[in-house]
Amino acid sequence: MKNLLLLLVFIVMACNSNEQDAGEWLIPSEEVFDGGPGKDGIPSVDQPQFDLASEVNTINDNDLIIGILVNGEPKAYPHNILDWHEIVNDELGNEAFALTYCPLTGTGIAWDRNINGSLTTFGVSGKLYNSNLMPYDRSTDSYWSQMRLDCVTGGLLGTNINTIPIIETKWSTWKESYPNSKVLNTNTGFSRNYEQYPYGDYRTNDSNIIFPVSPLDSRLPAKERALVLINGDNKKVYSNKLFSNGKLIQDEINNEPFIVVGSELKNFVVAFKDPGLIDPQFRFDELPVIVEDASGNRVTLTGEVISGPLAGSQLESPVNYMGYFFALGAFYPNVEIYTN
Amino acid sequence: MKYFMTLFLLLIIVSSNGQTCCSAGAPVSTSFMVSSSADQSMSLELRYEFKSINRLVDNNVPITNDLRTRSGQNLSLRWDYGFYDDWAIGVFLPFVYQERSTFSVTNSSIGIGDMSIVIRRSLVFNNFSEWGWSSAIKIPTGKNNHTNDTGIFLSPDMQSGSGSVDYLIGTDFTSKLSIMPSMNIHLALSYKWSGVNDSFAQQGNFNGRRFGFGDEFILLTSISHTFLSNIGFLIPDLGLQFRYAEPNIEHQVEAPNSGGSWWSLPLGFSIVKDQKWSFRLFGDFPFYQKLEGLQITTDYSLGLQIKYQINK
Repeated sequence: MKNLLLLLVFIVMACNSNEQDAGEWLIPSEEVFDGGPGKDGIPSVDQPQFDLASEVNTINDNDLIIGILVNGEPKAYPHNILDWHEIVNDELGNEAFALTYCPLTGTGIAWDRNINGSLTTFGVSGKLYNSNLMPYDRSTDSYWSQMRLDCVTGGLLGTNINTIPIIETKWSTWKESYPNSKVLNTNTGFSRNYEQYPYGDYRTNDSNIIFPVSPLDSRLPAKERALVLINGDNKKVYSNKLFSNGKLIQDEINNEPFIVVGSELKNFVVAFKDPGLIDPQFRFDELPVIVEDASGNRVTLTGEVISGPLAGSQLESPVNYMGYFFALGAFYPNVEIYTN
Repeated sequence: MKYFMTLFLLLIIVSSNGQTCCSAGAPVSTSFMVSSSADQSMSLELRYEFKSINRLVDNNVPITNDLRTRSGQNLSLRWDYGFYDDWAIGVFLPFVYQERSTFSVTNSSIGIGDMSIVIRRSLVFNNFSEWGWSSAIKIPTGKNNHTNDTGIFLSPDMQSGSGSVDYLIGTDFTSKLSIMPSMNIHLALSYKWSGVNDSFAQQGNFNGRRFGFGDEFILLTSISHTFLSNIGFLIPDLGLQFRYAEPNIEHQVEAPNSGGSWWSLPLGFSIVKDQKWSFRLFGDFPFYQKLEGLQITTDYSLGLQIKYQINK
């Protein structure tokens, strides 16, 4: 019996052997959660393969995609693939980027993979902060916050990430706008059931928030999709419900003029810095054109001006992305919500 | 008579070793379902089990190219005491090691799991058959604050303990076959109500989050045959087990990609050396599962059990 007690004491003492010192964090580390699969348990796509939009018949018209246009070359990344991989390390033109997507916050953001002059790739750390994806970079093993857009622990602590403009919209809108687009296909190197959404009713059930978020902002329904526009320290949220049949909003943040254009029907909301468009109006019948002003400037979904006095120019896109409102409210407490 | 009882009770116990997918420190329902019930008898049991948790399944379709590997090892100590011929109590304490790896990192945890206390009553006990019921409570003695090397809590299923109180009821029946008395059949049913840990990962100003494993139902049937040899009784057994688990509770909702049904073949080989010592090798081999979403689940488990009977 004495030996048995000694054994038990030894076992109890052995329990703490896994503890190690934590490094410095820019976020409360106690609010960072292990999502379950572990680091790289959700595999990023590192050798993406693409089909031509015209050859694809497996994506439904209403399925969401994330589109990107670099040097006139369009690519689309279907949500149903991103749901399973969360990060695609890719390049387009001269841009090396990681398309990051968090299915729990509904946020897709393209990150520049060139950091401080070094090219890296990103992987899924398996950690979540405010329910949001935390990528890690494979060069320094630093952990980042997707929605904060910075490195929150590790060697690159405090480094901000540069983003590349993307558009989240439904497949039919993108296909109509860019019929020559390439589309990420399911030859990801992994076997997954891409036809099945892996999180049940998560997308539509406002009470289904799997991991804690703080603060929980309930001014809008939790899963209402909205665009957050970031201009320096100022942010503003635009719910996609504002844009039911198509609408253009002229707004100012930090005394800087922006246009926010969207259509619930076509399922997109985009934002650009206003270069001085005169009485710009929403256009809905000639995709990819979505804006036309009184002087004849016609602006596309991705901000190219294809005719008019500003033809050939590219409207500057501020940092912005779509997401579920509960996540925007958690990352940007008391964020201003645009109302009519 | 006592030798017979030892044999009989061993059959009940060894036939009841269930498996779980990756519920980690949460003890498997059937592993603490029954205990010996001979009056004034006492036994100690040491049990080791290795689980290979490397089968990635989407609903019921195996996925072949997963990057993850996972395993679990349990070393458990069990003490049983029969205070009447028909009443017994058992105490079960596991010690758990778990490992989760991908190409980029390995996380592991080691520590005491949750202790279970079992009460069992025999309703029928004779030379031919045994029928009893069990009731158990699982107490959160296990460590549930294992972290990785950056100080972040490992997920609940990587913890040694659950931090919750669980309750279980079960019934089991064992009988000799009349046409072949050296052969026994066994049937066991159990249901576990899993509690919820309201403060998992609590630290600093953070109050923690809610997590609970899903309730669990297990049906086990098995058959065994006793052979007499010069080293004692040799008892091979083969079973069929059905296990159903509700989805886990994560924060406020049912967690996606958890819960489901498993079918498996538990099998074992026991040696009852004498009235004091018995040994058992066992394994469990899931052959079909229908799971909620995508889950990594047990592909096999193997173990060894040593039991020492202390008869007053």
